[in-house]
Amino acid sequence: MRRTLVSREFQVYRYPQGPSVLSRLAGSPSIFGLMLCLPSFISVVVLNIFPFLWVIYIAFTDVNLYKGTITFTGLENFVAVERSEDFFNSAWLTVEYSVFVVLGASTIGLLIALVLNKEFKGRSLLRSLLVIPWAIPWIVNGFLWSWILDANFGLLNGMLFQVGLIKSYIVFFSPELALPLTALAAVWIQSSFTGLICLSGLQAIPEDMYESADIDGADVLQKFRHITAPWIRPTWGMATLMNAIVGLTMFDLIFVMTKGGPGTSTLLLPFLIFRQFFIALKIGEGAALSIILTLLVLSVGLFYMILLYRRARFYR
Amino acid sequence: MRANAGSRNSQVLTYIGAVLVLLWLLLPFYWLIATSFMRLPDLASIPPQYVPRSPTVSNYYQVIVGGTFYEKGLSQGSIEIRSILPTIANSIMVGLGLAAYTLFLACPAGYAYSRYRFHGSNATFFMLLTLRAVPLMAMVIPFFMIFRILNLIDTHVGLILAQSVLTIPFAVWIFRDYVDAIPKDMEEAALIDGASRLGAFYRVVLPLSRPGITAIAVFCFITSWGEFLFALILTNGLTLPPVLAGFQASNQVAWTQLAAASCLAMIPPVVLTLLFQKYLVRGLSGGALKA
Repeated sequence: MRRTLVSREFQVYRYPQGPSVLSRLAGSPSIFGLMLCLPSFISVVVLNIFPFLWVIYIAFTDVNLYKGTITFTGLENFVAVERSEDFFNSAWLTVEYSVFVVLGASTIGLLIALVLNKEFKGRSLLRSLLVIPWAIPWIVNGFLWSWILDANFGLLNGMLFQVGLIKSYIVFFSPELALPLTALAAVWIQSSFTGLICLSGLQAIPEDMYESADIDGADVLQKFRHITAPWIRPTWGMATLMNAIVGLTMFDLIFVMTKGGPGTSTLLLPFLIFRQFFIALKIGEGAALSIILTLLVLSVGLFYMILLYRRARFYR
Repeated sequence: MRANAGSRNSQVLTYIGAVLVLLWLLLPFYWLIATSFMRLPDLASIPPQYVPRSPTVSNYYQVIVGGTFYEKGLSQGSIEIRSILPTIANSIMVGLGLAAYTLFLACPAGYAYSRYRFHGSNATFFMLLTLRAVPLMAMVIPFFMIFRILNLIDTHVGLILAQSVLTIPFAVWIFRDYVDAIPKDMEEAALIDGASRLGAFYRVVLPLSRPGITAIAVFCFITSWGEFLFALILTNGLTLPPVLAGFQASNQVAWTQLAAASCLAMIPPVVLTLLFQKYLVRGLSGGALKA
């Protein structure tokens, strides 16, 4: 590197022992920064970007995994997807599911955070417990809820039966209820996540704002509307978008709890893609669906990223 | 302290809310844990045994030791269970490997994004963030096809590489956040004293950002521990999630044993988060909170 590239502020103090090849290469701050990033760039390009580009390519081809052949077919896969009954059903279910998750998790999460921000005995214990649902694997979460809701030995069935609300055990995973109930399992985890984030948002609100509001005689609702809400809206919004993305991409719970059924009542897009890939072996169609799903998530995700990015810049 | 007429009422409300939160967080666990201590016939009793009447640890024993077991209530009479211990060992290895790989790549990058400007630094950082929105399901087929060619199917290395897709972008973002909070003066002092840039990063910044490193390591381990899709497709039941799902998929479902295995699978992530939650919460918010 030429020395003229080196910023002046660092130049004065360089290398009393004499520059080695590496340090000479790393002499310019911008080159040094780039070098630090390079390993992760390579990893991300090879492992994140390349597979995604390949999926885009596959979406326009017909893949035969056994023969190992890939033939270009143009837009055929997209046409097939558009003609199939499952696609529109699944796309609609996915959006519906995501709405359930957002409504449930963002509301309950915010309420949890509001409660845990109050002072009471055992608060620190409860705050520690808040992180637990977030930590357990999605698969285990799926078992947990399918057992509570099981038609033969479920806890909920037993309780309702004993209280006398039902005459015999009922099947909760019916075509009408399966979607909201699989969403319930996601709501449980995501409400803990939302609660965690919102709680740290709430803790950032300066106490004296509430004190001066008290002096002005504001009631609880007014304080919430004019102090709490504006302060945690960005944090809460971020968590909400995260919840939406979790809803749009949910696979694990569906796999464990319903396998898309009964019928196609919980056949969300990710599970439909999985089915096309590994059961129907229609790789091309699965890839076409993946692209559609990605666009769906990106439209929500991009909004989220811009929010994050703006915040990051704002605080710099 | 705010003391007014309604404070008594609001105290009561707070406690009601706290109890509801407690129930919401812990009650769902209860049935899973209770089931894991039941015998299979007890599970089907009506009304349910809220507290197992004849609690047993045999489910845990069977899941840990493995073998063929005879039990009442099974239509086939006996059930074959593979020991879960090798799977747990593999899960731990993959989790640690993922943490190491992620830290090794993400820490320098996060540091660079915090301290240096280079061509495309903003663009690439934004791209890293955007990558998190690509659903895993869209990447699994290319991984499957490439891994088959490279013979990486059902290997620890393969799974670690695949799962790094989830962790690296996030880890870069978290680590940058942590480095941002470290004053620049320290590195500048180190540079004046004759340290190289790399030395300033290695000797000054890394030790100071230990909480960030811990958070990333724990985050990676938990992610890997629970990650299902890649483990299902790219391995033949190497880590816990696909093995647990396999329990359920076999034609003779061993419910109580599955409950015991699930309980075992919950222990490491729960213990880790309880130990390190102070560090985790800040990282979890993904840099959303800077206050």
